[in-house]
Amino acid sequence: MRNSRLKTAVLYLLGGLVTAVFLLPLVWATGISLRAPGIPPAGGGG
Amino acid sequence: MKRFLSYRRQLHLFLLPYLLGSILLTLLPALATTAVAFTRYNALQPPQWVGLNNFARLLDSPMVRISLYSSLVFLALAVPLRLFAALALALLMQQKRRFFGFYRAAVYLPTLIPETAYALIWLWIFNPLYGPLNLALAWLGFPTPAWLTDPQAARFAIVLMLLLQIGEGFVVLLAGLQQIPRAVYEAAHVDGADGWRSFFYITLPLLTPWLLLLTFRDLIMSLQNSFTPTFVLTYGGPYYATTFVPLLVYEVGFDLFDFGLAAAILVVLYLFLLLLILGTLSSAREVMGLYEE
Repeated sequence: MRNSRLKTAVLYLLGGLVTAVFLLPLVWATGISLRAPGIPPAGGGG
Repeated sequence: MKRFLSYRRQLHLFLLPYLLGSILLTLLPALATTAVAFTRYNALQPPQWVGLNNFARLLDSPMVRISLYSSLVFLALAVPLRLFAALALALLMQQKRRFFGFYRAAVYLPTLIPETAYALIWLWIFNPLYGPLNLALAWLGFPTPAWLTDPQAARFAIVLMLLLQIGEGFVVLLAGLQQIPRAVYEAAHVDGADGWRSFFYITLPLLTPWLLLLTFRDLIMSLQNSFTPTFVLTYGGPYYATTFVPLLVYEVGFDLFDFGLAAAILVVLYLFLLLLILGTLSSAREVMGLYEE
């Protein structure tokens, strides 16, 4: 019983982490685009 | 009542638009490209037949060699990592529990973003000073690479950003996992197989055809999909580390107007991918043979 609870917790934790990794770039980009005046120039490239 | 069209005919009819699209948009341009590869053509004057001259120039060009090498390194990194990530995520997210539908949608979401927008997002993320990636790495005490100006890091940066666009492979493998009957696992469980054993002796062998399909697809698509990121993020730099073949073809064709050479590089790429796929197929046959024994 305890084992299966632990397994469920680990599954949810892993799933949540993966979700965060996949969603954060998009959420972050949305945030950046909402406060447009302050963004740093998108420099880069070689 | 007799049906207007037989079931087979209906299927053919449904396939027709795709077939027409493939012929018009893929097969004919590929054939035209092959023809252009034997000519000198700059889009202003009519093409002149030069035989194998373009292929001889291609063999002499250090740029083509560098580009092929970069592409190979990129494929060797990107394809296994993408497949492994898709498989691991499909295994994790196949649960029929609450919130897992949301998790699955989140994994698929970055695949839906238009390529250029996605590349621009990552241009910000990889910014060495303001970018969240280096801020997070610094906060955790890790070294902060100059992502897009260091040759090794730049190649890895492209791999990293494409690693989050694995939605299609992920969905295919989820479907593959659902096709495996529960009864097989139950029988294995009765026989005393634990989690890892049932993965290696049931899940993996039964998923092999799907994984094979995805390997072929990814070998072709990874290189093609690398065009937009390399164009937007690095334009082939630093020191040509990210000048993969599609970008080189673009540069030779549309910057230098040397369409003959560009087409010749493409023909070599076709052959190169064909060899790669045949090699994977023959090694996969051996693996499948092992499973069948």
